[in-house]
Amino acid sequence: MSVVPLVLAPSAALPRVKLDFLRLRFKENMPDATRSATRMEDETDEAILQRVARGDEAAFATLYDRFAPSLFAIARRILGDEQEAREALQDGFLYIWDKAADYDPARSKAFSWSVMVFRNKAIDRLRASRRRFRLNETAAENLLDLESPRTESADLSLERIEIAETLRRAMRSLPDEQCKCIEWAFLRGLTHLQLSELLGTPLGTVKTNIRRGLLRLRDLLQGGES
Amino acid sequence: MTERQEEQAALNALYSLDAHERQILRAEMRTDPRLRELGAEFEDAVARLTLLLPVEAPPEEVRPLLLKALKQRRRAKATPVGKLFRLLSGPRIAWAAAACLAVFAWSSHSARQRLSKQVSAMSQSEAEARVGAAEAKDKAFGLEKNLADATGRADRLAGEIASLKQVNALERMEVASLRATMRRFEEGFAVIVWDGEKQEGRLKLEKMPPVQANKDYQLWVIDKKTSAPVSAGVIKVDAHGVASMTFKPVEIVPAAAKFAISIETLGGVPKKSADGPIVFAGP
Repeated sequence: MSVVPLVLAPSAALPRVKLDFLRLRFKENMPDATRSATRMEDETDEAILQRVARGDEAAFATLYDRFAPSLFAIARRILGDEQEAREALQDGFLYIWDKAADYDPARSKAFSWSVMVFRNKAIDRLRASRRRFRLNETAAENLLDLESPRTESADLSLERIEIAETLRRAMRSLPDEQCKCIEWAFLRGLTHLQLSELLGTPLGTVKTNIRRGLLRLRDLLQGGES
Repeated sequence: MTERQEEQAALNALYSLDAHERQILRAEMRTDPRLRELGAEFEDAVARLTLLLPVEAPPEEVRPLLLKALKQRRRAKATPVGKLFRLLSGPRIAWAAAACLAVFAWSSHSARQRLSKQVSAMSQSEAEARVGAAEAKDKAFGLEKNLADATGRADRLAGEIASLKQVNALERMEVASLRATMRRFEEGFAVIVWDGEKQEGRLKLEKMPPVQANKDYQLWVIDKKTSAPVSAGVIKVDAHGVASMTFKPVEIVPAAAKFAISIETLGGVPKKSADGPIVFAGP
């Protein structure tokens, strides 16, 4: 049984103090193994990833439970195929297991590091398969969920929900061309050359759009102007 | 940091650079901490875009498959010996392995015995050699002592011989004082020390009057038996009338009876001439 929904459901009606009380009572009645697993669940993503680097399989399972839904979603979007996304998820997590020792908590968040490692592997897979997305189908597609509030909030931590909301606002505030360049490069694994070709925009403009867009995103995520 | 570097960092975060561009950017990042930091910030922003995707439950079988794969990897790394034992569990391989082990053990035992004997024999030889070396060392020490004694004795004998020779040489030598035969040379002084055995002598002249420019003093040794003068060389007298020289007669003079000094033509003459006056003679 997991306590995550109790801990991470800030929008529930019960006040926070009551939630903490319930969690403590729940933990007291747990067997040791479950309590140990719960202790790991209380740990930060960074601590879990560092445990993975030391070869802790239980930590790896916890990391999988935390990151797999997001990583599988991105694999589905990039590869556009359920079976390939499943294989990419499997390969990507094994790659994370192998490369966890390279992770530096001083440089990046565990989630960001894992997404970058995983996404790059998925894009390599996409490029190796030489499949090209069809511009006409994608042009009209709303790649990122920028409009509607998330219905899966219960599966994400409060912090991530807040970040997602900030991101959503930030992306909405970007000029269309910047937003589109970032979206397509992020979810389709397109290079700036491919973007320039597909959008019919000069290469320099594509580069500038990406740079300006990411600078603005960074500023907003760091609590800058909104 | 330039705009170009910012652009490259942004494209790198989106995995849009080719391998060469990525390599250049990484090299620049190594020397520019601000660029490195910006790259990490861009990567963080890009990674968080994932949160804008609706999460999707991964297929249920992936998790157990992954954990199984990790266990297999761990076993593959940790238990090569276990694999070996599993391989040996087959009866034929086990018998073959047992036979190999028996042959190996027997050959090892034989080799060990051979080696033990060799070691024992070598130890004995070594002990004998050590005794021999000690004896040789003693002998060498004795010989060195004898050699030192002999060398000392030889040195002493050589010293004695030298002193005896010196005494002997002195005994052999004759000292002759020559007298002037002309009034003009009376102030002159001429002494000869002669070693008949070595056929060698030493002449000392003082207060000798100068001779004409085309003349030289010449020394003669006169043999007792033949009375023939044998030339012993030209004498060069300096401006003060002094001369000192070692001389050897041009022929062997078995028994020197007298010595004489004459005035001859410049450079001397091989045989005594009648023209050259004798100015000193003796004893």
